[in-house]
Amino acid sequence: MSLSSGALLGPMSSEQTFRIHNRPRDVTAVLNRVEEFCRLHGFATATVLDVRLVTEEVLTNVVKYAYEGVGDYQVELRLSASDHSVRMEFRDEGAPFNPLDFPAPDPGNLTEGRQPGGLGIHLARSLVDDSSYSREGNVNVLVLIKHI
Amino acid sequence: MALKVTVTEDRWFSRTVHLDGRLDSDTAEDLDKEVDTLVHSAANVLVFDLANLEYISSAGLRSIFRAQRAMAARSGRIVLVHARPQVQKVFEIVKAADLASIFTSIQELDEYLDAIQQRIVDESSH
Repeated sequence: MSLSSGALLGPMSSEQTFRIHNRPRDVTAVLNRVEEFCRLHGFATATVLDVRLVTEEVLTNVVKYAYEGVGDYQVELRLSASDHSVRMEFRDEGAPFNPLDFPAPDPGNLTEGRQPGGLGIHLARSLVDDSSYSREGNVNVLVLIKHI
Repeated sequence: MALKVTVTEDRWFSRTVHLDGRLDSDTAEDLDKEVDTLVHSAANVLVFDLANLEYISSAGLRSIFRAQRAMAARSGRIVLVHARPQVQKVFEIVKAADLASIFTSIQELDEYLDAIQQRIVDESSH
């Protein structure tokens, strides 16, 4: 039996790293691969979609805020899964930017179009159990862990 | 993943927007374009039928809120029906569950539209 990254993986840990450029099409491509990774691990559909949602919200925020005004750059996602949790580590070399600093959006403001990044990060945080940010040299490191 | 948008007219003053697939950063713009057209129609109520919407992200929420603002600016409103658990969950997280009058059953929606229709009839007979 050969174990390629495409095989159905049973009860064992597994990791995968994705690197994308700051193009919307690249974000979509990695979201599809993240979803595939989760499905191969046999996660329930709700969990698969939650992980995709968290990843979409963080990547679109990092792309928007950490690199404003700069040209081509890369964002890295280190995804690892066990039977009980999914760990998402986002790394980028943009300006120091901690998405966790965004305040939770005020429900009264939602329909008035005044919530740029807060809504997405609030969603992401609500769907994971642990979140932490650190700066390693010139790299933003955001770790989100979802218990399953 | 893709989004298919289908529009039906159930009453002369309402349009139902059926969303099939996913409303996310990729597809939200498609809905925006459709809504822009509908806002200029005779519709006073936009019903979003979410029965076949399996996923929504903040980009999708903003698209829905944008539709709500556009309708409100013309004294209209939006209604959401048949939200699946995954989508309902997202609305609840952002505490937007009550913002757009979410109805789950067609009967509730029909009663609501009946009331609007009656009000329009009453107002035009004065």
